[in-house]
Amino acid sequence: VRRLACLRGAAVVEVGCGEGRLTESFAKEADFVFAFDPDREAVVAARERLLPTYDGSVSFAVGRARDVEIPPQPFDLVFFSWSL
Amino acid sequence: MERKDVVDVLRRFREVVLPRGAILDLQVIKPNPVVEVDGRVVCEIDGEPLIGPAVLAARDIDAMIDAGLLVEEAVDDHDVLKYYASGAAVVEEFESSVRIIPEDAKPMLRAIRQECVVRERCRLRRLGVVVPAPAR
Repeated sequence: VRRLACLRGAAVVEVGCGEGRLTESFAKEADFVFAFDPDREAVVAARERLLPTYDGSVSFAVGRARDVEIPPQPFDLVFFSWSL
Repeated sequence: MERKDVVDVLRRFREVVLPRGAILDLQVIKPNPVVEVDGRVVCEIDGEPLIGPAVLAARDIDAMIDAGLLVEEAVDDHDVLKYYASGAAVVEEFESSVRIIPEDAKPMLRAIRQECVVRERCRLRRLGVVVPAPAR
């Protein structure tokens, strides 16, 4: 991903975050990551693992790409992870 | 994702990154994923249930590029490796996957007690959004 996009300071949407394996990589460099997945259990696991470290800079939601509520702010990057 | 939703979703998230952002799309591509032990392929996994829809989604993206809504800025093909403690762990994880380990390979995999690697070929595309020219 770093070969194709600059994450430093970016606001990122991650579509299909699963248990947050890539979310953590994004969170280390980005200013803000909004990550979501339709799998509630996976999102719960991602929250439990990442929010203690990245609370405030990462936000999770359960939902589908066609209707999830997206935070009303500008984003620099949308990442579809095996989700189209 | 439902096939009929792909274009709508792409249009929706294109709006999210307007006017200067980008979309990154990671998809599986051929060949099929394989299980490796010590760098040697021991089993091929049927990846078609993921690869087929990914091919169709890529065509939808191509159509949006042709329509002038997106522009392909970069492409990176690479292997994604996932490590498992044993062959049994591979079999267990793929029981809940749409990809299929052949039934006749499962006993052999379950007998492997050393680290296994699943190698999948993937394509990452960077898609820039194109801001429509103002109407005259």
